[in-house]
Amino acid sequence: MVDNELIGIFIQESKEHLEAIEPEILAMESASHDSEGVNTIFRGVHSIKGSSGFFGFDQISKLSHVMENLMALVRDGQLSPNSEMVSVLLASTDKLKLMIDDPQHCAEVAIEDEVKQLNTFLPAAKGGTKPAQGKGEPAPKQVKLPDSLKRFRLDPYILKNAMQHGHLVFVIRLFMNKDVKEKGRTPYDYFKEIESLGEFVDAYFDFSSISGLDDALSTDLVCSFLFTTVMGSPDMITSVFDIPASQVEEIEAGVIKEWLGTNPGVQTPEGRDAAVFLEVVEDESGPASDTGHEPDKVEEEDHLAPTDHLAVKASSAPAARMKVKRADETIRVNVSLLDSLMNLAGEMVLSRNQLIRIAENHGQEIAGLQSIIQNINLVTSDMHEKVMQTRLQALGIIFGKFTRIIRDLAMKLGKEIILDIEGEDVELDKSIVEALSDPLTHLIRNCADHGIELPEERERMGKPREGRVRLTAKHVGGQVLIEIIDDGRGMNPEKLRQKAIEKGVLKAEEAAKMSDRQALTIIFLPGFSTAEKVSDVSGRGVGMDVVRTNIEGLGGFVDIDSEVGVGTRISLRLPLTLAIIPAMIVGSCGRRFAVPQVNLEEVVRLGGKNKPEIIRGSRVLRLRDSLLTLINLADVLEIAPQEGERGGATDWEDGYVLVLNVDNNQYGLIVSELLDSEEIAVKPLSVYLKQVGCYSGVTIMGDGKVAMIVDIQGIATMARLKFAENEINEQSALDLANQLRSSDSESLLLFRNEGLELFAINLSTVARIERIKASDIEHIGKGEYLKLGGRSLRLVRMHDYMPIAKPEQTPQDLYVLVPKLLAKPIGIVATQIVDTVQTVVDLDRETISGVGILGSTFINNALVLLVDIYSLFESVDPEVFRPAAYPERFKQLRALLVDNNVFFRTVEGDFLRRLFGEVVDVRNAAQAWEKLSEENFHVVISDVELPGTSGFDLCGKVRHSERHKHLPFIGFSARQDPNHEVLAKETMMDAYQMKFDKVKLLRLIESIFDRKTPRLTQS
Amino acid sequence: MTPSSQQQYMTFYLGGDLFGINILLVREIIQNLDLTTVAKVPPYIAGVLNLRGQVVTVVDLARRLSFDDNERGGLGNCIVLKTSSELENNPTSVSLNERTIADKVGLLVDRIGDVLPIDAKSIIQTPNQSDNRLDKRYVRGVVRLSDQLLILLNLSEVLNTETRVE
Repeated sequence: MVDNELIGIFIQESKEHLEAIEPEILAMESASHDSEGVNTIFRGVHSIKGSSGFFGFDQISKLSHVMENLMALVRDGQLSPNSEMVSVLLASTDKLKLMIDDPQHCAEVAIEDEVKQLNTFLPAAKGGTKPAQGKGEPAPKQVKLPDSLKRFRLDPYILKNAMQHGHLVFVIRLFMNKDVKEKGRTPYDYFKEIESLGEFVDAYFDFSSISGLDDALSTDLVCSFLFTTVMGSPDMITSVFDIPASQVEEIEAGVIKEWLGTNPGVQTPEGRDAAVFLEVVEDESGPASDTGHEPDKVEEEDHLAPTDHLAVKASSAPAARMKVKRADETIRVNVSLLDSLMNLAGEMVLSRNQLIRIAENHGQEIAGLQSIIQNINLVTSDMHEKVMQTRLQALGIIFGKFTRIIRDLAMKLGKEIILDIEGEDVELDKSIVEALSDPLTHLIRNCADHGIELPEERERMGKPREGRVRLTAKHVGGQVLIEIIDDGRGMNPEKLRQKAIEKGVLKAEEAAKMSDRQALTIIFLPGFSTAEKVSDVSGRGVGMDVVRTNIEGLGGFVDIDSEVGVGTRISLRLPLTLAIIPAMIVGSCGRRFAVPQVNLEEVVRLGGKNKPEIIRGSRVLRLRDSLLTLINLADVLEIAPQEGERGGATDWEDGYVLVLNVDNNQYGLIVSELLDSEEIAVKPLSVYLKQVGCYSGVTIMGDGKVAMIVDIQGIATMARLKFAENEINEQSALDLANQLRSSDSESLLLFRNEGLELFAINLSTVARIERIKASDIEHIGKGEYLKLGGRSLRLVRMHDYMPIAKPEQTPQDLYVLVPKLLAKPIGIVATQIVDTVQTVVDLDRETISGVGILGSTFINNALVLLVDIYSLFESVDPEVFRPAAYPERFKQLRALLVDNNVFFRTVEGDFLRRLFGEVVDVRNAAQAWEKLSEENFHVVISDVELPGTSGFDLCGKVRHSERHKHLPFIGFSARQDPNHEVLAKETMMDAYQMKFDKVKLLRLIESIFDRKTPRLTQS
Repeated sequence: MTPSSQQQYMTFYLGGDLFGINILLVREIIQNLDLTTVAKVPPYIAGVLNLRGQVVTVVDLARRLSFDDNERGGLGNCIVLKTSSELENNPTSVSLNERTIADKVGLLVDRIGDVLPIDAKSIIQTPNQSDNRLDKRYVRGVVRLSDQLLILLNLSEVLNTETRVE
């Protein structure tokens, strides 16, 4: 019956009230709550009560009425809030939400529990005298009321108050068509107006005048409002509401007083009003106190318009009051209108850019043009900014709800969690804010569910019982950075790897390759959830990948950082708006490209000291002690310069390097020109251009030409930069750089078995390091085994085979070093991982020797034993690791061993010396070539990854030389790389193999010499 | 479907051959192209152009149909097609059984011909006589005109990125 449109407005406005109320209710629990917050709640429920009343949504108005009563007492300091009260209020808010979502059916919602619980907080005197229930029934009383009052629910508290202060009581009648629709207002507007003039008591729709369907269509519905006001005469009312005098009725004070007198259960105890009143008077400390202004209102209006206070009180100045109210009014605008406004503004910016360009050429010809252009320039920028602002929304809108979510979760999970929120005022485009709601909710829930430990657990770990979750937002360089930081248990990269392998999300090799930082991103893989039990709190592993997809869909990035036992930090970086982004316009080969500023960290001019170096076939730039992999844009896009244009695939020495960052991976993009920094409007790519994979969008430049927006990630992928290995690459690039200086430097993993002995193992022989509990180890016969990735791994304790100290007892926490590329993997048990070091090993083979010991060296003044895992494993499992016999037939042969790594050179040398008559070892290809040209060998065994010239190049050189072209050449690698096999074939190596399997190597050598007669290379 | 079986066709030339597409699919025709070429795109993408603030991807029709370059003539005109959503929102074209794609696309052709009314009955569905240089998938049918053969293109196939170009 009531217009759907009006109900829509009621729903929307009520929801806004509820949103404002909830954080305040939560705040009541903390010490920081203030009267303003309480007032907000009071006003909110009051408004809901009022508006639901005149729509006839009884259940809603009933519940909000009880809430209002309770809040009135809290506001007046008669009740102090406690956690129980907060819970009930929250539950009631939820019920209100539920009903407001579908107000037509609110009668079906049971609110008795909430009402009962709310009432328990009210003093007994109040509890008994709720206003009459139900509409249309006059409150039980003896006094004869005028007809116009009969159908109102009279609130003795408000009326008494009004009488005490000499306010007048009015009834106004509004016609839905004439006064509401035709004037373009809503009943809500009237309600607000009433609230500004005095206090609203009740309202109802008069359905009784409608007798039939025809009537309903033709008759104008009447809505009646009862309210008290400071206004002194009916004509003021008519002028304020702009309604004829016939629709205004003044209720005689005598009638009200009489009614009050015969209703003994007046809600407030005597003295309360006086007390409050006096307090306020003191606060006001002005003459205004005797105007009879209602004290509660004073507080409210203080908040709304503090300076207007006195004017408001003067009952003869309604106009002034109205004016103030209007000042902060807002207009509701359809979002689609804002969207098209934004598009238009975008076009305007582009046209402005075109105009500026043309004016640059012709500006001098027309007098005054320049200044006009300048004006247009500024106005357009301003306008664009303002239009963007209309779409900006503060993050507080979504941040607000998290306090509640955390509170509920904490209670449910038995945890104690404090949520700190910062940066609610940071604004983002509306569409981004909306799209952020779900991902953020998920992340916050995850923090509470998985991140924060139970209070007891926290105490055990020496942390405060209360976990802290910080949700912050701030502007960082044209972007918004949102961080969710908890001080919970953190994430264990090793555990993540294991889980990922168990769940089949990742292959074991892939997982092993990941750095710890990268392993954390496993949680973003589809189908992965670390929760041991699926709870109803956090999701079923469908969440985090959706979070990432959503954020990236908004043009943002997700990053994660975690430390076991300390906490987790998830950072989201988001653009302010979607459609227009700041970009750097660059040129290469006469073409223009836009590079999003978001990804751009700095620009380096090539030339002079900034000269790219070539390391292992790829170009790098030394930039403040780190190496930056370089990609030439022209090279990737396969574009060539026309005559007179700069740039090109071969041009690495000239131009600029854009230092770009994608997901914490850096690379340098070489372009030939830097043209401009501009705000560009991003247009979507057509399907044909999307397929290319190196563009993220397209834009129209100031001169009307089209330019492609470069996809930073796509370019990197296209340049076959494997970002997954980037950290390792970076490390190995750095290693290489070091090796160029001192070719014997190597990476060692330092660990302890037990006691003080320090051991080292070459890091490149380790596939991974597992952290285990002693109880994880299974004993089968004499052997110890560990289940790892679905397979059993045999474990060895070094002291069982090596001449070293035996531990007295084994600690619970252990590490297992899993060597890679072995015929049969065996794990070495360690009790402590000390460090990894990059050092030049000065190997002493004499002082300390024995099974499994390669020798000793000093690292940082500490004696370190280098473990020879191959000889260790030989004694552990001779059948697998020790060749059955060393054939005699090679004893007459000479071998050349090329390896830059001391560790391998020693191990391999030891083995080869047992096989061949003589083994000459060298460190790099240059030395090898020198030896080859001076001496004669029967076979070359070379590492393929050598500093400078690679083993493949060496082999190629050998094959191309007349003298050595038939020389057997065996390539070795410590790293699995499919390219190696291809290169090995291309350079015609006789064999290519992983380091370091003696049995296999022996078989290889035998088969090569079965095919070839061993002969010295001398022709 | 339409009361009259006659429909208007926009005709154009690639080299000496005459092609036609339903005029309801055409948004506009532009001459004096200011094309920006794009690196790494398939060879049949001529480039992109700015059409009053909208970016149009231009398909080089001759390349798409695997015509040799030396058969090309003329300076190039672009037939900008309606997008699939433009077609759906237009009641006159909703009955068409041909579809374009969601992106703004233009066809680069050598020369624009006349608009001809074609009777559905005169369309030969199995174009045996059709030029065998042309992949049959791209042909909807042929019409024998008094002096020449008109090849009606199957735009859905021509625009489909899945369709391989040999």
